[in-house]
Amino acid sequence: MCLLKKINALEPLWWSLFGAGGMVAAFLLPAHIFIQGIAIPLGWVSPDLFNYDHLVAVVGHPLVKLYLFFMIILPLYHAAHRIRLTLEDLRIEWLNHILPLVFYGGATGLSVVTLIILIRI
Amino acid sequence: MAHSMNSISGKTEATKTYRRDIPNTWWLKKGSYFLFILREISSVFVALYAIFLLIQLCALSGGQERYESTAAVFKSGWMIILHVVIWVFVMYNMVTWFRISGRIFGAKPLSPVLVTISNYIIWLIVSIGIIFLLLKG
Amino acid sequence: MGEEITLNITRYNPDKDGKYTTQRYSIPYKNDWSILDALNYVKAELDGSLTYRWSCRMAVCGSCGMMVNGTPRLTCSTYLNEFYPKEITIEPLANFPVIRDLVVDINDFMAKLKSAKPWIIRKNKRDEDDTSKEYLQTTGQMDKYYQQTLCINCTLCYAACPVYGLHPDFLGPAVIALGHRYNKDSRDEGKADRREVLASEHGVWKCTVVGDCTEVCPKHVDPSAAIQRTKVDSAINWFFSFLTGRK
Repeated sequence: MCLLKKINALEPLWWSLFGAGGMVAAFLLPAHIFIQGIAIPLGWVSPDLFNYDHLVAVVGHPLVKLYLFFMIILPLYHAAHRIRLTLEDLRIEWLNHILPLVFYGGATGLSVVTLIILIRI
Repeated sequence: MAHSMNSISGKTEATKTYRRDIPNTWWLKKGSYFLFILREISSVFVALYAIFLLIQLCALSGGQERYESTAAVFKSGWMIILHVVIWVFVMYNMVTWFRISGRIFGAKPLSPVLVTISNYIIWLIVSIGIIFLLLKG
Repeated sequence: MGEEITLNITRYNPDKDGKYTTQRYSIPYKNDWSILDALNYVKAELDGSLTYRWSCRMAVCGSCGMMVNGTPRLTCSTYLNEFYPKEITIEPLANFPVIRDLVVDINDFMAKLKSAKPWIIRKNKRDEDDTSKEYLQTTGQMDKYYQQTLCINCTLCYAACPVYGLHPDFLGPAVIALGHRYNKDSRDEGKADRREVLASEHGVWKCTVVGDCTEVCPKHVDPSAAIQRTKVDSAINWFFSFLTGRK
């Protein structure tokens, strides 16, 4: 319970991460999803761009790593914050006491995983 | 913080007030409430895409063989359909985001419409930039 | 002549049968009647026991708010001709306890309003009593808060806010908007005094930006934007005090 109080006290931090994630989701994700998730699998653009050797070279660049890091973790915090509050609004009451822990903890955990993976590439 | 019912009047005798229950389906009762929940749900798809990216990066770090088997999954029909769904929700998320940021930052001397429109212009430039960089390789 | 319109009005009398019901009234349709005019007709001609609040009839006093076909409206400035020939359902404002018929208990709102200290606070308390002192303000400084001064405390935004309905501890739209109004006033020095309430768990952070408060506001106060701006201010202040270690 004490941990939960501490998590709740960090509300301005969670909200700021949520806001930053909203910016990433709004400005960056639509183009990425369209190209990487739709156009390339459908073969609308050259498939060579996404072969293994090329990608490893691109992702190996430190700036690309930094970009990918924020592009992954900020949307996770964005969703964590929103889903947590929405579940409260949908009165999933029996979950209310663990929601912040589950969602912010989950986003933080995945951020660490992202960091490790990016360092290893 | 005091906000009990009678904290102002100081009355102790209870007036028998009628309290209306809010049904759990409250968000289905009004168009604006439904759109609100839809906007909130769109964040699930935002997170889903972030996790997909993470999975692809994870596969990339695991060597060529693992990357190619993962890439094959992402080329399957149902994965493409899922990405179209994700894209639609992310676009909806974007529209609501720009509308709200217009309201927040569109105070005098700026107007909400001006802020929202400039958001879209920046979005267009950024998107073209991303697409250019991705396709240039 | 001879046209009629049907009103479905909520009835509740705790001293009589305590039943929460709807009563139908057919009244003459007049093109220029407001809903409030129609209620006054019902009370004068059909049923003297109908209870509701009203005063100014010109959208200034903020006391005649009711749910009109499910939407919070000021009945003095909502007209029959918007609905005719369809029936009109008139209920007490949502999210508040009903005292009788169309009258709701807004004590909760009043207590919260006070807690946000919606008045000018000066660090030097003598300033507050000194009426001879002048505080000049530019129009630019006034623009920062003027919109929120228009609030008439009609509580329509509370009836529109599902977050308030679901979490009654939530401070709510108008109270935060009015706290914001004084925070943004160049004459005010009470930002820190209001922070504890506005930036609390039940304050701005509870808001999920449904945005209906702004839609229903008869005075275009835009509480939704005021809440989000208060979030921005609170977050900046939080980071600042985190970095400097100051409260």
